Amino acid sequence: MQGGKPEAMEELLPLVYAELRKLAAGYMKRERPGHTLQATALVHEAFLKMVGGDESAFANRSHFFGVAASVMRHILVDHARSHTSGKRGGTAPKLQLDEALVFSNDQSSQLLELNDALDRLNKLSPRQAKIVELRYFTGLSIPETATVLDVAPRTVIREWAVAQAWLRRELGA
Amino acid sequence: MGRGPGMAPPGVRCVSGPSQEDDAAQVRHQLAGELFLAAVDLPASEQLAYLQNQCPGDADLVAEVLSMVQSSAAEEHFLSRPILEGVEPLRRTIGPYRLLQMIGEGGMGEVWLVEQTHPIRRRAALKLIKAGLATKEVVARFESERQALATLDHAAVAKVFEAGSTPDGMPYFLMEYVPGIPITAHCDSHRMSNHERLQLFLQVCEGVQHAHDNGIIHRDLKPSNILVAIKDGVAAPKIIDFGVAKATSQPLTERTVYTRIGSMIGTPEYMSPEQAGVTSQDVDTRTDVYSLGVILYELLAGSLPFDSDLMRKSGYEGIRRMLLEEDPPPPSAKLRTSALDSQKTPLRTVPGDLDRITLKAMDKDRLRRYASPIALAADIRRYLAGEPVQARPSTIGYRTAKFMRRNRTGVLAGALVAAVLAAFGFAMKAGVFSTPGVKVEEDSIAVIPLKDLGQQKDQEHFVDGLLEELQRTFRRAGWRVTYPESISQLQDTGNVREIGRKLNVRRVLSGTFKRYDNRAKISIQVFDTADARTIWSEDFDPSMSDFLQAEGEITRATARAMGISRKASTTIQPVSPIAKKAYNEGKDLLGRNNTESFKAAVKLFDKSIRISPLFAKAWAGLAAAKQAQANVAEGSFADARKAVDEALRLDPELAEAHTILGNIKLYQDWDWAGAETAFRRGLELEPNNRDTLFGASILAKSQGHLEEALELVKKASNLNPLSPVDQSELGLTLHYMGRHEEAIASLKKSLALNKDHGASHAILCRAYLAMGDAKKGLEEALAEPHPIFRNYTLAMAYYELGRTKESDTAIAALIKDNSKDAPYNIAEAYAFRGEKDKAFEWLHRAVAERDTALGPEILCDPLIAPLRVDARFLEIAKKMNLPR
Repeated sequence: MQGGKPEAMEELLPLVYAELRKLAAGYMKRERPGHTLQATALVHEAFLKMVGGDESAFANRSHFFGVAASVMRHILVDHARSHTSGKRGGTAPKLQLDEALVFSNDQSSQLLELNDALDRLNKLSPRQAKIVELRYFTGLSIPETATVLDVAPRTVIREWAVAQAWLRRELGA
Repeated sequence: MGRGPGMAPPGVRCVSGPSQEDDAAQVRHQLAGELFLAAVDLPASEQLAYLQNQCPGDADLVAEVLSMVQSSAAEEHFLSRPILEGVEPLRRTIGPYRLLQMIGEGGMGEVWLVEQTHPIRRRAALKLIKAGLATKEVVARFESERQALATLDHAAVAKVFEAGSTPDGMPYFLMEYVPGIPITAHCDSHRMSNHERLQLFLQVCEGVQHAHDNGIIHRDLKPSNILVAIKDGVAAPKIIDFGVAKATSQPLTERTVYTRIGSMIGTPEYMSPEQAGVTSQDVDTRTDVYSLGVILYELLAGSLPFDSDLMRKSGYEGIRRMLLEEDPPPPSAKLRTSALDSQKTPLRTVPGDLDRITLKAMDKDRLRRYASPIALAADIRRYLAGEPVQARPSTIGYRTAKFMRRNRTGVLAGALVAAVLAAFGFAMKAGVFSTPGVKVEEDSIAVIPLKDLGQQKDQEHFVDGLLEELQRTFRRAGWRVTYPESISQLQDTGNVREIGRKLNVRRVLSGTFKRYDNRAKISIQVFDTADARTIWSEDFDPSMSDFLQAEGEITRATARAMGISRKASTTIQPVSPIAKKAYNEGKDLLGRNNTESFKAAVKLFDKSIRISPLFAKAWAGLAAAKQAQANVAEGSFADARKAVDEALRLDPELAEAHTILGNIKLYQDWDWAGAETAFRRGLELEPNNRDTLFGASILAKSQGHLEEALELVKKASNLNPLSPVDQSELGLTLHYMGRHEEAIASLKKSLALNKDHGASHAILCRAYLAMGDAKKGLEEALAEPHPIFRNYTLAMAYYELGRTKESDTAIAALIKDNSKDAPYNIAEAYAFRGEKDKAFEWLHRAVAERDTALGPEILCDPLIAPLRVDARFLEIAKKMNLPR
C-alpha cells in the first residue's frame, strides 16, 4: 500500500468499516429497485464524512481509498456469507419488511469463491490482488486505480488483465 | 494493437526456481503473467507453439498460461463489471415474498410483482395498503370473506390468495398476477369494433355475476381493475381486486377523511350514486351493475359520461350534484361530440339500443337498473342477435322520480361530502383549499426541547436534529404537532397539564440528554396531558460515531410506541455531523427572524451544503433564508428558487421545500396555480404543517376566498397557538370579513404574546376605524412600533378625525422613507382618503416594485374596494394574472 504506514491502517480499518457499513445501509434503505448502488460513490461519501473539515486524519486520499477498498471487499463478502448461511428453516418465515442488499444464491457463492481465490492471488501478487479490490469491489477506473497505487495506468491495465485471467481460470470460467 | 511473436519480451524464458518456495511461486506467477500478456494477442493457432517455444520443458506452465488465455477469451465475465453495478441495491422482501418490481402506485398504496418462495414458488401481485387504515380490521374483514373468495373460480376473475399485514402494520393483499392492460386501453389500441368490445365486455359481466353468485360484491369496478391479457393468442379480460374494496372501505368519520386526504380513494367516475351517498351497508350487487354501465359507456363512447376534469374541478358539491342529478348524454351523442383521435379509434357509431342499454345499466335509481350483471349481458346478447332489447326509452314517470331524488339529496349530503372530500382534497374553483376538520385529540403532540444535563450546558444544538426528525415523523403520520415558535413561548416546560391546556395537545414529549466524549445518554418520555401520566419512556445510549443512525432509531422507536407505522417516518440521509451541526445552527438563526440572523443563517446553510451537497434539508434551509432576505429586499428570489429546486430534486417529499416554493410563487411570481400546486403537495405530505397552512391561507386570501383563508389560518394558529404572528394574521382576516370584534380579540392576544409585534396595532387601528371609533383608532396607530404601519394608519386615523394636515405629514413621511418598500400601504392610505387617482398611481408602483403585500391583499382588502370597481383596476388585475 502506497503512502500509508501499516500501523496507521490497522487503526483506521475499524473506523472506515463502521462508516462504510452505515453508509451502505443508508443507501440500501433509501434506494428503490432499479437504482444502482455504486461503491465508488459510497467511498467518496465516506471519505467526505470521515474527514469532514479535518484532512489530517488521513495521510491522503489515496491512502483512504486503499483502506476503503479492502473494507468494501469485507463488507460485501460478509454480506454474501450471511446470506448463504442464514437459509430459512422449515418453520413459517416471520413476516418482515426486510430491506437489504440481496445477492442471488449464485452471486453469493461466486463471491465467496472469488474471495478465496483472491487470498491465493494475494500470496502470488499482492498488487494484483489490490487492483482487484479497487477495480471490482470499489469500482475505481484505471486512472483512479493507478493514482491510488502510484503506478502508471499502463501497469494497471496489464496487471488487471493478468489478474482477471488468472482468477477466471481459478474459478473455472 | 497486435503483438507478433518476435516482440515477446526477451526475458520471458523459463528459468530454474529460486530457493524459497513463496518467492518461487511469486516469480513463477509473474512469468505466467508476462507470457499470458504476450500470448493473448496472438492468433489462437499460434499460441501453443509460442508458449512451448518460450518454455521448453515446463509443460505445467504452458498449460497454465494457455488456460488463462482461453478463459479470458470468453466474452462476459462477472469480474469485468464492478460488483455493485450488477446488483440492485434494494430487493425488499416481505415474509416469503420477494418484491421484484413495482407495477402500480396509487392513492391506496403500491402494487408489487413478487415472487413467493414459501410454501410454494409462484409469482403474484402484492398490494400494499397505505398507512391510515386499521390493519386488524382490514384483515379481519378480508378473513370474513375469505371462504367465499376462495371458491371463486372463473376465467375472468383473478384469484385473491390472501391478506395479511407487515410487522409495521401495513395491510397487504396477495393476488394472481395479471400481465395485462386496462380493458379500455386494450380496445382502443386494437381499434376494436363495437362487436369485439361487447364480446369482451360480456365476459366481464359473467365474471362479476360469478362473484355475485358467491356472495361477493366488487365495489370498485373500473377499467384499471379489468385487465386484458393475451393468452394463447386470445385476448381475455380478468377482473382483479375482488374483496379488496370491502376490506379496505371504512366508515367515513372525521378521522378517516383526515388520513385519506390527498390520497385518491375510490374513483368517483365509476362510483354508483348510492355508494357515494350512503353507508356501505346499503350497497348491494347493483352497485357493480352501475359501474359496469359506466365501463360499457366508456367502451362505446370512447370517453366517460361526465367530464373527469370538470368533475374534479367542480369540487365535492359539483360531483355530488353530477352523480345524483345530472343525466349523462347517451354514448352516441358523446361519441359524436368527443374530439376523438380518428387515427386510433375506428369510425364507430352507437345505435340507439346500445345507448339505452348503457343508460339503463347506469340509472341513478338502482330499481330501474338491470337486476344483475347477467341481465345486462342478456340484453346485450339480444342486441347482438338483432332481437328487441329490454331497455326502453325513459318516460315521464322517470322525470318525476328524478325530482324526488333531488330533494332527497340533502339527507345524504353529510356522508357524501366526506367521501368526496377524501377523494379529491381541494379544488381551486370551489375555493382554493378545503381541509377536513380538527383531528381527534389523541393525535396531537408538543415536542419540548430535551434538557441538557451536562455541566457546561453548551450542547443546545446537539439534539435539534433528533427533535426535528421526531416532529416531521409525527406530522407525516397526520398528527397535529405544535409549531416550535409556540413551544419557545412556554414559560414553564415542566407542567404537562398546563402545556396541554395552553397548546391544546393531548401528548407532550420531553426528556433529557447528556453528552459524553463518545457516547450520549438520551431519555425520552411521552405524557398524557389529561392526567400528566407517563405513557411511554425509554432510555437510549447511542455512541457518538453512530449518532445519525441513532437519531433514526430513536425516532422509529418513539413512532412505533405511538402507533405510527414506519412508512410515515422518514429515512435519515447520510450527512456529515459537521454539516448537520451547521444546519441546526442555521435553523435556529432563521427562527430568530431578523436581517442579521438571516445573513448568518445563509452562511451556515452554505457551509452545510459544501460539506454534504446531498443534504436536501440544508438546501431548503438555504432557500428559506434567501427568501426571507428577498422579502426584506436583501437577497434575490432567484437564489431562493435555485436552492429550493435543488432541495426538491434531492428529496421530492420534503414538505417544507414545497411550502417555500409555494411562497415564492405566491409573493413573487403571482403564479397562483403554481402556488396552489405546491401547497397542495405540501399538505398531502404533511397535512398539519403550520407553514404550509399559513401559506395556503394567504393564497386563499389572494384569490378573494376569505372563508377558506380563515379556516386555514385558524388551523395554522391552532398548531401555533402562542404565536403573535398567527394571531395577527387571524385578526387581519377576521377584520377583512367584517368580524371586527373577533378581530380585535385576536389582535389583543397577539400583543399579549409580544407587545411590540409589528402590524397588530395597525390592524387594530383599521378595525376601530371600520367600527367608526376614530379616537381609539388613533391610539392604536400611535402605539404601532413599525414605522411603515404606523405612518399609513396614522394617515388614515388623522384623516378620519379631520386632522388633514397631520394626515398629510404622515403620508409624506411614508413616501419619503418607504416609496420603494411600501407603495401598497401608500395606495391604501390614499384610497382611504378617497384620492383614487393617487391610489392608482401607487398601486401601479406596487405592481412595478413587486410589493410583496400586493398579492395577498389586493382582492379582499376593504380599503381597496372602491378601486376594484373602477375600470382602471382591470389593468392591474391583468398584470397580476388575477382571477376575474
